[in-house]
Amino acid sequence: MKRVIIVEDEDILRDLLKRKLENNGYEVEIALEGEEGLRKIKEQKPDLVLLDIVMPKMDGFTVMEEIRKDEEISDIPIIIVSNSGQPVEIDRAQDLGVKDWIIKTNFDPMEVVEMVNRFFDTEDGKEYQRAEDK
Amino acid sequence: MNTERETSEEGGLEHFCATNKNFCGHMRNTACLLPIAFCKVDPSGRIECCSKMFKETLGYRESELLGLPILSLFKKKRKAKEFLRVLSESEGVIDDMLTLETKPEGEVSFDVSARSIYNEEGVSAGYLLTLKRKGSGDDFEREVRKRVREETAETEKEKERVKELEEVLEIRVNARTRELKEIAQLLEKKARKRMEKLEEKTREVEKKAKMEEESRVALLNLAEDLEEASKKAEEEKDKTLAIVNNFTDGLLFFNRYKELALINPQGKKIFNIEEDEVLYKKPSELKEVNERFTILMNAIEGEMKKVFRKEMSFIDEVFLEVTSVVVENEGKEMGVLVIIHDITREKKVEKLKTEFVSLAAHQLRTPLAGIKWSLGTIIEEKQVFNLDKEVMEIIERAFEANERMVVLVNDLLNVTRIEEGKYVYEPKDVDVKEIVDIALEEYKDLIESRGLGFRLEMPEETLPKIKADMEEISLVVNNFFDNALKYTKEGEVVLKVESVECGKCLKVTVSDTGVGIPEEQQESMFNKFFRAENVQLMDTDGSGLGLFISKNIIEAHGGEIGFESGEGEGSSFFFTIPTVKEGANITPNE
Repeated sequence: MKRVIIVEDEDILRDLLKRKLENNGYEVEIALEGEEGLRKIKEQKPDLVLLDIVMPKMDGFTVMEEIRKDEEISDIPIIIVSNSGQPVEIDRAQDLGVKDWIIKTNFDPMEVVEMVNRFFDTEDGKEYQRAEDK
Repeated sequence: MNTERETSEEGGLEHFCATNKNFCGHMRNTACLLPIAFCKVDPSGRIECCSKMFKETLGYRESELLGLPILSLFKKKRKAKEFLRVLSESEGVIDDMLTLETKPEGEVSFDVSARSIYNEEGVSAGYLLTLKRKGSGDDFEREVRKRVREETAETEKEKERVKELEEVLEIRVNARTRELKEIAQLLEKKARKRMEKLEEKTREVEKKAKMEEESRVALLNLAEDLEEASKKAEEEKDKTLAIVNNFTDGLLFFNRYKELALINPQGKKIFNIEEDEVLYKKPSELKEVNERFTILMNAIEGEMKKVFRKEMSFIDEVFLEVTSVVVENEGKEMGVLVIIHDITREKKVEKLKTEFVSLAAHQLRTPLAGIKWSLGTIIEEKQVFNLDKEVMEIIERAFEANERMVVLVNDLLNVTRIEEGKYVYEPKDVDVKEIVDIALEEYKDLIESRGLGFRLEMPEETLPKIKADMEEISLVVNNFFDNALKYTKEGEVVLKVESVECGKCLKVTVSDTGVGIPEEQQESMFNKFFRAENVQLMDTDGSGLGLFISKNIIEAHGGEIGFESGEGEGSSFFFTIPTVKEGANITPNE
């Protein structure tokens, strides 16, 4: 079973997403903000991280930078699930090696789940089509 | 012999003698001029003095006569003596006829008259003697008369001759006079003509003088005007100079020869130089002046033939907008004006705005996402939740409303980014068929589920690719379809793709049979937040931003956007995009 960690400070979204993913056969861990998220990522080394950007204590970008620094976790795939979407930010995220970036208001939970499925389907070298390109 | 004659004559002479002491003096002075031949003889019998006539009658010179014994003059001395003796005894005048010797050789008879004269004491002072030619009186008279007659005759002859001459003269004179008159007339005519000419010339001269005066006045006026114009020009120059010097932007002017001819105080400040370091240098030289000029010249050097605008920055966080304008005067290029506008503050504001928008987006979207996912989950899993139909309807409506809110927030964010000029996108070679496919997938079923027809018109052959950002172009197509759906209650929606302008562009059209756009609303269609009046009352809504965003996207791709519509007749919205071969060099909207 694939393990997914959701790092998201907004309750509703976090809980809904967790529920959805678990219903679709994923093992889900949650973190309420960046610091906790980073810790759990280091501890558990998940198969995928769904990461928000705007969070208290430590934001998503800092988390990504920290992940990059740590060899043991540097190649864990990350998908940004955020509400901002400024090109500047997206570029920055891409430079840090994220797999994808979705804007929460443009996708409902089911779509997010489908996206996660698709991701794992293509993990083995198949071409991954970015969600926003669809 | 005659004896005394008592005449007035005698009395007169006596008186004369008596009263005149110096007789001879008088004789000499006056009496000698009398036309009487007389003389005075002194008591000794010698001639004391005589008249001119006496001399001439006898033909003697005065020197010969004076002192001469009077007797020597007489021819017959005895007679003469007798005469003299009688004379000495008489008191009055005695006359006799005697012969005297005249010069030249000759003897002439004279009537001689004499009278003794006495001085105051009664002593004898000699005697006066006169001579008269014998019968000469009558002869004389006759002679005179003869002479007069002769003279008169002569005179008459002369008169005749004169008269003749006069007549001839008169004729001649008349003729001459006529000639002269004619000549005079001619001359007068000539003179008149000359006068006229002269008058004419005078008038001309006067006219010329007047014209010259007017010219002079005009010149003076002109001079005044020129002076005024010159003053105004000077004022303008001063004004311009004042403006240039106080202008808050940096101004540089490159002349025809690409030399830097002017740099204003603000310009000097921006580039941190003094005038003499840069004036009249050419671009290549200016590059060497300092780092800032290097940056400037690199930015503008190649572009100095046209109008352009660029941004550049110096190392120390100063952002400048450089605008270059070619200055022309009547078709001739005078030079290039470069304006340096400090936009550091604007950049800061832009940055702040971007940050704000980011934040706002996130903040707005977070609750919206929450609502979306919550309601969405219920709807998705309605079987699981098994709620009342009525409740589900309420939830579904809430979900739809929230979706609209999401769209609105997205639009607002897009607009903000467009306005900042930072609507960055990635143009790639795109096959329009892909865009069509995506659109079909999204909208075909939706359109048909609303009871409308759908048609696709696209040529069979492969169309050339377009240079486009797929995401953005899809946005535009979606916007067209959204509008078509919103405003069409019955009929059909048609998607048409064609190649236009000989393959230079592709044209994509979405047509509907909906409410259409009233003519007076048409020109505002692409304005921000504009919604036509005829749809505002419908049970639809829209942010009024869709077309505004679409227009910006298409124009940034170097294409054109437009529509055809009539109220109640439906609408056709289209856009064109340059194809890869010809229209490849689009300039992104920076």
